[in-house]
Amino acid sequence: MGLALVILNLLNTAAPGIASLVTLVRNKDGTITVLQYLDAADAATDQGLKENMDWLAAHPKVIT
Amino acid sequence: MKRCMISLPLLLLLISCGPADLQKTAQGLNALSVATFTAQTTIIQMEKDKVIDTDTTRDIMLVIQKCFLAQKQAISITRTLTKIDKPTQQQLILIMKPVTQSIKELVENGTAGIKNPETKEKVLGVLVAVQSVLTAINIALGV
Repeated sequence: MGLALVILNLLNTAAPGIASLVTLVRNKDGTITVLQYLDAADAATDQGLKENMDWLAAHPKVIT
Repeated sequence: MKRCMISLPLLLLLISCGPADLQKTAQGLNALSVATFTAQTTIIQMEKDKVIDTDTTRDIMLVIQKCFLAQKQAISITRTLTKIDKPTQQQLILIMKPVTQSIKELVENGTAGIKNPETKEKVLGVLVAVQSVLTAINIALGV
């Protein structure tokens, strides 16, 4: 618990900009299932990976 | 179903408290995907705005790519589970370990080329956020 609070403080101090919000679909009973978390994570990861590869392809390392 | 917003710090608190389980791992992976995505978007924009150079951006992007690939692998494994047993826990720890190390090195040394203190702070901020989520996941996995 103590370490969790340290992490939270670190996050809030070092990166207030990233205290961003995660949008998820909550079920009627208030729960969010494992699959819903994983689907959201998968979508963000796929999109991020695509942007990452596109950027790297557009900015190749130039060896002089 | 209705849409809801959950703050990342709250997620971190939930993830890193108590024993490792499937729900916490899934929450952690979701938080990691958001933190990594946000870091990448910020870094790309800063390069576009010419506040960080392309070589520094490329170095950071390569580490972020490692992070995305590890996330993808961990998500794919977690999707097949009904509970996290010891071998799976070890497998996930092994996936997260090199990424955790790379992010740590990036936080410690990867911004040395950035001279502007404000820019450096911003870059470090988004990287430390990724590192924090990785720490929370590692705690949840019992590392």
